[in-house]
Amino acid sequence: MTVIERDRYVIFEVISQTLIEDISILKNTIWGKYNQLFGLKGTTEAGLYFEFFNDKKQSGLIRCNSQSLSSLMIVLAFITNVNGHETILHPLYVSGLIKKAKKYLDSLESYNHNVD
Amino acid sequence: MQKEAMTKRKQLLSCENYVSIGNEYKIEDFASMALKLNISLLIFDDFSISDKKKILNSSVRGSYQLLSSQDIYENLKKKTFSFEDIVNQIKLSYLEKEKAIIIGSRKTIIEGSIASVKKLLTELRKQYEIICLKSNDKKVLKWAAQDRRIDYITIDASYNNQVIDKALCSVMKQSNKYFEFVLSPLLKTKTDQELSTVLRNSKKMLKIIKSNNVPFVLSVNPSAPYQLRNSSQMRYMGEFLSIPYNKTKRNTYDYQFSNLIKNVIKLDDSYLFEGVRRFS
Repeated sequence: MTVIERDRYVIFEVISQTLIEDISILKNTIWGKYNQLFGLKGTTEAGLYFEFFNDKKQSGLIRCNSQSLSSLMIVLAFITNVNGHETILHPLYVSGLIKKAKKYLDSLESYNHNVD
Repeated sequence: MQKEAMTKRKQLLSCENYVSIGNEYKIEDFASMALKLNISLLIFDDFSISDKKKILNSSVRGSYQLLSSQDIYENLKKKTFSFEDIVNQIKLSYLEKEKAIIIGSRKTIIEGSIASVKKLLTELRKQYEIICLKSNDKKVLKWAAQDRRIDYITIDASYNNQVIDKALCSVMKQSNKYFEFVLSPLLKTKTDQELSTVLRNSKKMLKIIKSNNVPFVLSVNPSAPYQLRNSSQMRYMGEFLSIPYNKTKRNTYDYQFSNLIKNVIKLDDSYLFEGVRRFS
């Protein structure tokens, strides 16, 4: 019997004191937090992949294993700081299809950093 | 179409039950962040009903609206009678408004003896909508569990977990009182060692609470807007503490909201205690 690993695509929004332009900083933060909370085994099993990040909309797309979706959500909730700035990583949408996820991401309005 | 949008928003409703405002941030800062995170109810600590009225009357806000559950109740009290109807009606009238946040007031009592808690409770009468108690004394907690003026017993991961035992849980359950579990120590830890201690403590406490079926609510206790978390994020944090995500559906909004409305009704001038009748 073959076991098919299904993926989930999580769209998240970055709410931070400053605009984040470099995806690598965000990647390191998420990897680091995942490693801290779930260990190396959990991190490797999660199959994390950073598909896309739009710095104008301050939102991005992460792919993960369907079994590890809840742990990715836990990691996003636990992140308080990115590159020394207070940050919230707010998950907006979860899909099993990348096309649908990208469609949702396209429909998002561009991020206005100075809203209120 | 409008109905669909309302049911969608209903699913997203979330509450932060314990916001600490310091000198650095204003209520408006928390409110604008809450809007971004779809948080619909903010309850501020050390913030009296009169302070709330001042804020609602004074500040000018462009993109959002601050609401008081008392004002909504004022309009409804002659039309609806049962408690469930009132809660549903207030929820519906909130959902009809876009970009609005309900604010509430609360006071957390931190005392070590029953006498001092009693004294404070009489002083605080009718000044706050929600009253919570934090104590490390078993006797005080057991007394508070039976007192109807106290709404929540607040505990967090840095708490002495020996205090929470089966006897206290049983009293809490009998008097239908809620534990308020604060998740902020999980976010504020700096080292792995600290995090592991906090996790171990929290899991122990929640295991006792869960095994005794005592109702509890989750809150983050943010002292800055960037520490706010919405309902789903709080539930995921709870899942990390071994409370299944699907079992905390009501612990991040419904319990808090109905508790607030219950107290708003009690604080209203027209309220009569059960069993008392008004002669006309």
